[in-house]
Amino acid sequence: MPHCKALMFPFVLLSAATAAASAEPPVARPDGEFFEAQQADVAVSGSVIVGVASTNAQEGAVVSRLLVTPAPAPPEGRLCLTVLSRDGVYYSRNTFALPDDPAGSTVQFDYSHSKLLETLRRYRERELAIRATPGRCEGVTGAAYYVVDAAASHAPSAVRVFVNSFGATDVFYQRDPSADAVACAPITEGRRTSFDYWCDIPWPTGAAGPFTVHIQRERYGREMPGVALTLYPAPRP
Amino acid sequence: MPARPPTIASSWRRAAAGLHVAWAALLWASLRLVPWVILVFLGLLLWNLLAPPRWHFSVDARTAVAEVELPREFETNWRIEGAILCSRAASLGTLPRHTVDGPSPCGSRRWFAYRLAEAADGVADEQVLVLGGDSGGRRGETIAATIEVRTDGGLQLSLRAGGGSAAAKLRGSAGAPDVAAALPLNLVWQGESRPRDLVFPFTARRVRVGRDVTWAESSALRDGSLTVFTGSDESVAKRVRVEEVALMLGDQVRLEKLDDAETYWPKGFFRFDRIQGAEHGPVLEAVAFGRAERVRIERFGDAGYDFEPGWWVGVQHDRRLVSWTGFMIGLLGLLGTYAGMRELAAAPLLSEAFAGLAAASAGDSDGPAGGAEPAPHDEGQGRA
Repeated sequence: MPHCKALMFPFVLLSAATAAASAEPPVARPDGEFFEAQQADVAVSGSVIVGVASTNAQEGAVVSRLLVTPAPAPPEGRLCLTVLSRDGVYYSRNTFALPDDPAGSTVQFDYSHSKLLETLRRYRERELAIRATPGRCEGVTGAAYYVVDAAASHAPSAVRVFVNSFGATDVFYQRDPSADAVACAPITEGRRTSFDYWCDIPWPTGAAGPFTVHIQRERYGREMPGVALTLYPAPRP
Repeated sequence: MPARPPTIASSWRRAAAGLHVAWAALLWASLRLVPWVILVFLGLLLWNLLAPPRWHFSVDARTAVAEVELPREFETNWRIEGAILCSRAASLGTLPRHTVDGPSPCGSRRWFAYRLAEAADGVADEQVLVLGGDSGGRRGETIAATIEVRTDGGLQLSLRAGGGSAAAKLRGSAGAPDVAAALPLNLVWQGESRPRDLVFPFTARRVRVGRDVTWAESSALRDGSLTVFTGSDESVAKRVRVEEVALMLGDQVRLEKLDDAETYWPKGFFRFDRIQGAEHGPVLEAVAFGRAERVRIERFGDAGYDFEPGWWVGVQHDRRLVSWTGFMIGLLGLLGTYAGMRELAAAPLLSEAFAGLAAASAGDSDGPAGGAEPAPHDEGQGRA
């Protein structure tokens, strides 16, 4: 019953999060010195996709309780976690080492080395982009893991992708070439140095493995280069 | 015995006595008024500091890009002659398709290009784009318009519904019925077609002049100024400039709607000149006014700052506070002057002072025992 499975999926995630919170999940620790910066207008990377996180892991307070299920296992047992504020003031990018044998289980990022947790708490919904990618930060990847909040009281309904449109007037996402493109929403308030659109991508019904989302941009009708994002769903029991 | 008619002298005496009573009453009231005057002054000062005044901000800038959010309850009319209309709809009433050899001016296949109606002699007819003016059910929703100078010297405009669906109306002057066009819409004035001088006035919920500086973008605010005014009845222009700050290349300024006792919407206009100066190339002029406590200027290289006059400027331009301060200073000054004059009046007269000096000299000649008599100076003080 695929429908039943779809209904179970958020429940599984929430259960995993709750269980992880109560049973002290394995911890992914920074591989090297923890790096973060708080300065105005940091050089924004060239990434179109800036953040990929569940809709319940959006505010700054969640960084110290981020959960990820690194399946398939990333190369060298490493994950790259990037946190970037919309105003460009806060930026961190660190390689995290997974425990020796995570066995596809849910792990928690150790963000306790941050000295700017108070600063991060000031960021509200749609003001902070979090992205966990497989491998070291030096590598290039178009994939992302699904990051959730360990203390969330409700199951995430979608993946929220933050997009730096680089001046686009329209941003869309498309699950597959045969499906219609769905418009992403612009951010109209406040500063938009790091990203200016967000797309809530509903979790695909019955997804068992990674799936690819295409982000398309247009500037006054003219197409800009598209970007493909591979999303790794949380494993089912 | 019949009463004698009052003499002139007695009338003067009575008048003087009346004036003395009035003066005494005035003094009595003024003295008791002082604490209340000071109390009201402190209250006004506190009110000024806790509830800062709303300033009139004015932006005058030359920019390559600007955005405006138009409230749908207001109708906005823009003349758009010379534009190519880009819509995602495969047909738009009677509007003919714009066909060209080569790539479509509207970009991707999602968009269809339409040519605005022309008069018989080939001259572009007056074409008006009507936005908003919806019924009250759409209150709070907006239409987002982004205007940007094209690299070919033309202009482009995107119109997006800020929530739900919205449509614009195309109104020609030739008596043809309006054409409804659902948003999103793009309008393109190509550089080679030399668009006429374009003016886009607006009443907005939010105005953003300039854009964040990134490595991928060249469209930015070029220069301009941001000025703060305050209302003034004394000034001929009914307003007085308080402060002005120059805007730099890459700055970004936002003016937003202010909900106070009444709602203040930012207003202004964009102007695109057909004849452009060769020095700077095509540019969009943006003028916007609005009321706010502060305006944020976002500048590359720092986190941005609030352009907000300081508390002292606020105190200086609070008319109630300034008037009351003047009244208080005047009252205290008058009372102080009166007290000083009384003290002077009570001081020994010159003749008395000389008499005292003479008495003191006589006492010296009589010997040390003769200095026990009180000096006239002391008597005078005792009388006072």
